[in-house]
Amino acid sequence: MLVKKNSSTSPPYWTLKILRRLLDQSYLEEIEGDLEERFEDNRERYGLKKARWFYVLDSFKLLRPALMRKAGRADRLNHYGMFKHNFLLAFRSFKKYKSSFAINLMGLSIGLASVLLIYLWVVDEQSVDKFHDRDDKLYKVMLNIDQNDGVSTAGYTPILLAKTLMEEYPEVQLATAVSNQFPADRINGMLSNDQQFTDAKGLMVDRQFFEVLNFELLQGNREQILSSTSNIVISESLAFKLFGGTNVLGSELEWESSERKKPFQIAGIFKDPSVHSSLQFEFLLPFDVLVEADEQQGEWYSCPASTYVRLQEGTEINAFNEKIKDLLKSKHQWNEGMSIFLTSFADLYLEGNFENGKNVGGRIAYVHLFSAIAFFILLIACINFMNLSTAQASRRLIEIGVKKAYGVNGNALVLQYLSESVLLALFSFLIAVLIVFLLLPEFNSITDKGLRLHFVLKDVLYIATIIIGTGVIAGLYPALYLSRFRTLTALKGRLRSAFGETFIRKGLVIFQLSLSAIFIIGFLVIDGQVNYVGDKHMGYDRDQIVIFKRGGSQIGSSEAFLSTIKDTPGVVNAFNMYGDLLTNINMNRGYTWQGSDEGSAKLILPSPPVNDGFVETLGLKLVAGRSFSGEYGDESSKLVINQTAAKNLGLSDPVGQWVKRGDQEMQVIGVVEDFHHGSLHESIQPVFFRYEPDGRTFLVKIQADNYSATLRNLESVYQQFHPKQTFDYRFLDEEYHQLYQSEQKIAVLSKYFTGLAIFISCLGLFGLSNFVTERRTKEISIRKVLGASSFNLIRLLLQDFTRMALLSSLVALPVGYLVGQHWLEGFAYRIDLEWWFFVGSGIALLLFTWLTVGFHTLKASQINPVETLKSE
Amino acid sequence: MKRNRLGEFQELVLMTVIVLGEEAYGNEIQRYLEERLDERLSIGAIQTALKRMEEKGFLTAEWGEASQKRGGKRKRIYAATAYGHQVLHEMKDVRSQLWNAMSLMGAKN
Repeated sequence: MLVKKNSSTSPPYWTLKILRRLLDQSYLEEIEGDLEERFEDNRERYGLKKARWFYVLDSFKLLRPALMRKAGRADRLNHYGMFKHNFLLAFRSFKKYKSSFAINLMGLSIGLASVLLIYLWVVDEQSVDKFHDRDDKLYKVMLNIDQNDGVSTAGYTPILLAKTLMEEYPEVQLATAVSNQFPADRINGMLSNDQQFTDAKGLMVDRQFFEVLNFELLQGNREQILSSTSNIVISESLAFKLFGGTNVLGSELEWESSERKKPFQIAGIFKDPSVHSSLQFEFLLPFDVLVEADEQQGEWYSCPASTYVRLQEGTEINAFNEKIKDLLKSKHQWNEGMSIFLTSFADLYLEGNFENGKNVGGRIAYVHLFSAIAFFILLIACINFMNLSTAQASRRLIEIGVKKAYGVNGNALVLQYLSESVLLALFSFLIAVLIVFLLLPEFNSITDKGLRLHFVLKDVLYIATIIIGTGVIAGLYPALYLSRFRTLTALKGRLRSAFGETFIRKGLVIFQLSLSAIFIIGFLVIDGQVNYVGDKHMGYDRDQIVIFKRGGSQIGSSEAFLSTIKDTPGVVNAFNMYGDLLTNINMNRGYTWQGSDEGSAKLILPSPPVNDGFVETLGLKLVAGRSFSGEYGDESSKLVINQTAAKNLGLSDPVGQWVKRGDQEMQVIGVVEDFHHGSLHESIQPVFFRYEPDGRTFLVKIQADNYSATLRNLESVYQQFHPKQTFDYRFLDEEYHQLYQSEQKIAVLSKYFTGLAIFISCLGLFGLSNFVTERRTKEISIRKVLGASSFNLIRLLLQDFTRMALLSSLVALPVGYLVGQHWLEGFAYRIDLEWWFFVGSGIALLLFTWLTVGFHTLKASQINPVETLKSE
Repeated sequence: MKRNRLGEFQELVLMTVIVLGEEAYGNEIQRYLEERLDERLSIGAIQTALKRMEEKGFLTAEWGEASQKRGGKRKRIYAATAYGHQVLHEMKDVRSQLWNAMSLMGAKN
């Protein structure tokens, strides 16, 4: 008892509550007395405020193991006994009710396996680009460009930017420029020494590269490796591939891309970039190589580089962004309408999409989507447990009654049932780990990842939380429900289910089925869109078109090569171009035309340099004028445009009009029908086709039949012109499908997860229908005696479940509509949400329900009334 | 000696208990030591030392009188056992042997 004192002068007694709970009881009187006495002393000496502070401080310093209540002795024995008892009962009930145990175990282990797989995937996604030191200070410079229809954002900046930022802005600690573009193509190329050659992916970087980004340099001097234009730095695995070892500093290596050939000397070796790096490269060249090859690339108006920046500690990022916003504009007049800003590099992988200059997420949406899917699948499994346990409560009435009669209180019962469900969750988890172990290779191949089942302490904590959370979510409602029974009614073994309980059970089933229906709708929408994209006529012919790049560095005319290809048996038509039609189309800005406003010069427009034959090969439709043709001599001052471009020029008859780029004047000679050159995520842009006979990329239309012979012919032609190169070809339609890789992955995964959701729901229905028909055996028998036909009985038994399935479809409709609509918004060209998606999901749900419930129903309708009725 | 070593702080507390005699209860010990050591100690530190030594058998304790100032709680008066005294003496012997050894070293150099 506390002695009442004037509260304004009393110590803060709340700490005593903690002490009394935690300290050894036998020490309490002495310690409380000491505390009190000391407080009084302190109050006289230091005043009330300080005395109170010392009191609190002393109280907390008393929480030492030596003074705390000892674990063990009576306390522990008591808990131990209770847990032992609870687990024993749990095991007995598992053994006794095998079918519901099996259903729950199966459902929960599938649910937990989904959670575990998605957990591994999410952790992997979140670790991309997170390995750089102090990545809160690491930024990438992004570029905003004003376009007619808003602002577009890209990660490319001038090479000079890194140096300028470092020299002129004290906030910048370090900056580095990195690029994978070589004048018109990627820097990838072939590396060879005397014995070996291999294709490799490269980057051009400056000297700060290894300081700004944490890639590990194994050999070589950081200061000097990139100091000369004849230096090359290669990865450890590349060194093994080419030389069979890493003792290669100073060795000669020849680099040969489609445009250039140059000898280099190995100045360093770096460790292969981690799989969790979004930057992947096998060799590094100094930037000067690029500038040497094309001086324009080093100017302020070219943007071939990605710039990474480390800011000084304590720099306010928004203020700094405001400061550098107009840097590009001030450096060159052509950069009108461009502004730059820094964005966290670590976040860019998951949140790399920008709309109108604002970050709109990105892959993070898939992380959220799949986390939600995992959660809901697990929830469906938990609902199975809730429904089965509450429905079968009558089986445990006597147990509960006897316990209550002996004075077991409600809380102990709740704890008992909770420990039962947590134990079940633990078993399920062990099976889930096994499932994941078996499925992981397949999952990896779908998601294109190298996930491993490998836990660290942090994961163990999360997983323990998941297991206990699952057990509690699944078990809490049944536990509360079961422990609430009155002793007397329970002992009499009579259970009159109140309206509320059936209502909750049906509500849970409907919730479960609605989730399944939403999964079905989602699957139909994704599958529909993916098929639509796959089959859509893009305005050009992408079947039987082979693409390959002219290898080697023999700079010269492609004329002979092209004409030989055209003469090859099996080839229908062919043309060549710079860049790549689908993934790397050339973009330029600075186009003006008669009547164009100031804004038009700022637009970055696709303007692929192509040879004649492109209209015929791609099956484009010419709507006005003519295409390029050898008959008219030099066509380099001519342009073919698409309909959107014609519309943008604002002319009904664009043929013969002049378009200017800088000082160069070009005349429009033809208009082709619009076509999608990229993915359907984007809408059609105006396109200017320029004439260029020496492009490196060849697109060859071949005959459908006998195409393997044609490919062999093409290969021999290729070898004849490029004896040192390998003929590396792809098909245009394959490449096209690559554009929708992430959608296709989603489609496949959504198929599996939808299947799982339905399966688990059906498991629950199966168990529930078993119980329901069992309970109604007598009713059914009496009906049968009175002359009900099997059909009548089946209808009677199915009625309830049919109603629930139909109601679920209705509930799923608006949610499914919103979710589907939201996902489709990411496509510029998309399917409409058809009525049959929703009706179809409803019908599917009904069929699944009937199939599941049908088994017990049929069995019940066949019973022999004599057998079932004689017992009473 | 091996089995029941005294910690440095425990040794100080044990000696204080002997010095204070009839007055040796928690707060008095604390006040006395705080004065000598010229630093603030926490009740937790003193109590831990007392309880540890009581467990080891260096100390015994009896309930003393209660007072208004203590909120009606009784004091617990500690006293050193014969074993406590013995351990203190052993500690002192070890120390003085070491001191002697040190001064010999000093003489040689």
